[in-house]
Amino acid sequence: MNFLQPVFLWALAGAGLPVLLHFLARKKAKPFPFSTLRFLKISQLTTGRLRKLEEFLILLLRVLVMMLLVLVLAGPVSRRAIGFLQEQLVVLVLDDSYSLRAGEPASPWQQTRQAALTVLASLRKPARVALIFTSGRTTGLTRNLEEVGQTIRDSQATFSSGHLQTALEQAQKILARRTGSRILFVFSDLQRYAWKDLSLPEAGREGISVVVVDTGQKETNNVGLKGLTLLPAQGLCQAEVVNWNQSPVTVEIQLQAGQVEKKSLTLPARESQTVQFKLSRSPGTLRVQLIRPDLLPEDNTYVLHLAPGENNRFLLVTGKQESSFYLETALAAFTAPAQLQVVSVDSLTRISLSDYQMVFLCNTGRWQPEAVRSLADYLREGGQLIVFAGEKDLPENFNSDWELREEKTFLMPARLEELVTFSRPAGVIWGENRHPFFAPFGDRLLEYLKTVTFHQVFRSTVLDGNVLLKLDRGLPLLLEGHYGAGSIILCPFLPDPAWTNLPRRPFFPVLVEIMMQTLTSGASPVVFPGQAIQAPAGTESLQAVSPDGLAETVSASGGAPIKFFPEKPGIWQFSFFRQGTTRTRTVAVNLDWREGDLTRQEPASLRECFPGARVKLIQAGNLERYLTGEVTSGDLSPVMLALLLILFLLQVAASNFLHQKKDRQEPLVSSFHGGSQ
Amino acid sequence: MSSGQQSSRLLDPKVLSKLSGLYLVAKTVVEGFISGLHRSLYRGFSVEFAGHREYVAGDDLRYLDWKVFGRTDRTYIRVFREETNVKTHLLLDISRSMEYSSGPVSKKQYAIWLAACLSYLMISQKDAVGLVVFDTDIRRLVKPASTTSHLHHLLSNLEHLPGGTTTSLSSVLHLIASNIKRRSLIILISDLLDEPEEVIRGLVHFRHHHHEIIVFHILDPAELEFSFTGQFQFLDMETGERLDGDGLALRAGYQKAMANFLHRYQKQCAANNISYARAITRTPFDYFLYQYLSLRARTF
Repeated sequence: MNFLQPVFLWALAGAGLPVLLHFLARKKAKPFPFSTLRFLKISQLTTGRLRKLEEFLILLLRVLVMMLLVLVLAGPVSRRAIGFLQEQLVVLVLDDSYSLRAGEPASPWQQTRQAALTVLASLRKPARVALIFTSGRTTGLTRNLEEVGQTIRDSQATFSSGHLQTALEQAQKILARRTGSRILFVFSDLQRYAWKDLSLPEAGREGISVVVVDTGQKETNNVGLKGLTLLPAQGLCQAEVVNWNQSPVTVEIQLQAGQVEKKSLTLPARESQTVQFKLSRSPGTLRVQLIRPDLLPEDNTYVLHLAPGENNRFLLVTGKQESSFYLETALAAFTAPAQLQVVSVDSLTRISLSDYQMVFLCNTGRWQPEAVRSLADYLREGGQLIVFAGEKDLPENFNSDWELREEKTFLMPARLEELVTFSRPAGVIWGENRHPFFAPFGDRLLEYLKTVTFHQVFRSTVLDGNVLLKLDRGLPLLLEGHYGAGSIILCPFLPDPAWTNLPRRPFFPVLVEIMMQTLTSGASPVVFPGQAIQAPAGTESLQAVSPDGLAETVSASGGAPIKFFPEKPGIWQFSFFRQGTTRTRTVAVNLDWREGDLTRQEPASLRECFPGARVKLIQAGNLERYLTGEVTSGDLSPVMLALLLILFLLQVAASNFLHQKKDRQEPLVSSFHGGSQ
Repeated sequence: MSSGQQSSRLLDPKVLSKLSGLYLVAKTVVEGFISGLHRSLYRGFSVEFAGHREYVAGDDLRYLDWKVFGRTDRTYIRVFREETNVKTHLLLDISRSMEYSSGPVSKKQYAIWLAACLSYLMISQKDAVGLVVFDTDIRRLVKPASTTSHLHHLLSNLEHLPGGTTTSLSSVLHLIASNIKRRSLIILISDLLDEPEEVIRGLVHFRHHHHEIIVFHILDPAELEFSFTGQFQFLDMETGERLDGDGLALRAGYQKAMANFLHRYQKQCAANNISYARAITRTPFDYFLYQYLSLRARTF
């Protein structure tokens, strides 16, 4: 129980007034001569005890009446209601992910904003509020409710997926650090994608009330583009379309790349299909668009930017000339001599990696931290790296050298374990044939690889990458990872006959060419809205030009690398300024396709997301009524008042009873008056 | 106002408190009492024949002279001359508790008046009256006599009583009982604030010597009603002991204890053939004079 006017609680000291009066009244007693005390002593031993008990009860009643009077004046409210009346700590988590834009202008976001303002309006001055958006924006804990309100009014739903998990963890941390009545409001459209894998730690959730305000809508009419993959080896690009509806839909899809190419397809309910278009090699923007009105129009478009690729340069870094012989031969077949440079590890520090579109590492051995950092910078800016691990790459050295200690990140997609030598040559048993590397082979990939065998490979532990090929016993043979805007392909073997017959098979030069074409297709890196674009080290300032043509400049401060978070989907142009030189980069910002799934999480399962907490799910439309109801039901004044009245009447009745008892006592004198023997 | 009503009013202790001098009080009470009393009761108790008087309704038929009725066919009552061989000892308790008063008359004052009135009445009937004043011990002793001068002597003693202390009723009663040998009428005037069994044992001692006993139990109305409300520090008048308590809270228990106390006296007195009369300090005296005369007539 809490109080609206706790200052009145000081008056609780007045509850002791009846006790004080009781004792003061006792002190006032003066000596009263009486003939004998013998009967009084007997009385005190018998009825005196009962009377004392009665007196004590009346005193208790009077004290309770006084206490209740004070409590009523202090405005008692339940813990539940206090959250809406005088909550010390309220955290508002607003889901501002892209799905909240569905059906604009009457979107769930409008509901979210209105609901948050309604809650804010129900709070009173002493309350402290923290505002957290799932996109990452926060206001911190403040008592300035007007400022929070203004932030809510000024905010817009983003194009990003947001991180509900992170936002809730952050809210939980704020609430866990405090005691008393705490309440967490989560305003969300309950999109299943955001809620399904939510898992919050239990610590600090005790005593926290969670109110989930459902601002979503039932309609899920939406289709979207999952992505656009370039298949340069086939001269094609492939768009993947997904139907989020519960029924089949027919959509028209068009590719704009200089000229417009349209196709039509029918998509089964909640399934995706791919559509292939002829890939134009001319540089510029590649835009795929679905022609169909739905709730989220932005995810109907996917863009890529193609840069000129004639002057691509490749770098082969080798630790042992013999190990890279076959690779060098394969590369030389597809590149002009000026395009390929072969260097040793030692000379790498003298080379500017940014001059190369692709870097091959082959049996390189140990790496110095500075070299690793420069490779990381190269990757972050969109560089492509293919690594062949050989006998010089001892697993313990490999696993420690590629660790980016400052970022606590391992650059490679997998760690190497021990070298596995097969008594019988091992074959490839599985391949990701939808990957652009293998797309030209389609379902016949394994047939092409049937004669390829391996004598030894490194066993690897996959960290944050995709396995593209697997050997017998499930050993990863080809792994793909990403760092920044760049890609890393890790092969835990050497293209050497001592390791495998692959370099001697016709498949090898074809695969190398496809990989080179795919990785250096000239397509700009793709990021999701809200993902960071980090400027290269030493950049003094960054200029970002949005798809609308609006330019924004960010300068470096405090030595930290400049980061920019493009929001609007489309092609962004970045310029990095350093010591009078300017480097440009084009980035395609495309929506996270999973945001288009407007399927809602089952309300019943929400409680499982907050085990141990009191969870209440409220429809946004019912929020005001709920808040009013909470206040009304939580206001304990009427109960207290009724109790006060009852106790008061009880006290009066008890006092009267005792007085009447006194009056009822028959005077002995009348019965004894004439008594004689 | 009739003379009877007037005399009755004069027997009221409140009225008597305005009179000065015990003799005057006693005379007023007794004369007033006698003037309103039925003639048959107020007669001599001697066996010596004094003459006849005409029968009036209400006279005791035991004293009807049947011979005269047979001869004359008229009803006459035989009247006897009083004898002075009945000795009465008034035992007056003057302990400090007797000084308690909730009104204009204290128990002690009331007891003195009662003793004076009884003395006056008895001596006017030629009975010998003695006086024993006591608290923890015998404080004053006046041997019985029936002369008018003795009455004055008695009243003078009653007027100038010493201040009392605590009560030790039973021991004093035993002491007095052992000193009165001849069969007498013993009138105890006390608030009896002692253990009832002990007191009764003392009274029974008198019964062993064939004395007739009348006990006038003097009580203040407040001692019976205990109608005090509020917080008091009660002070025992005899022992000086103190007790804090609320009047209202103590009342029920007090009244119960008092009722039990009185009941024990009443029961024990009845069991031992002792006349017991409760004398509340606002009770008119004619009641006690009648009580005395009734016993006198029945016993002697």
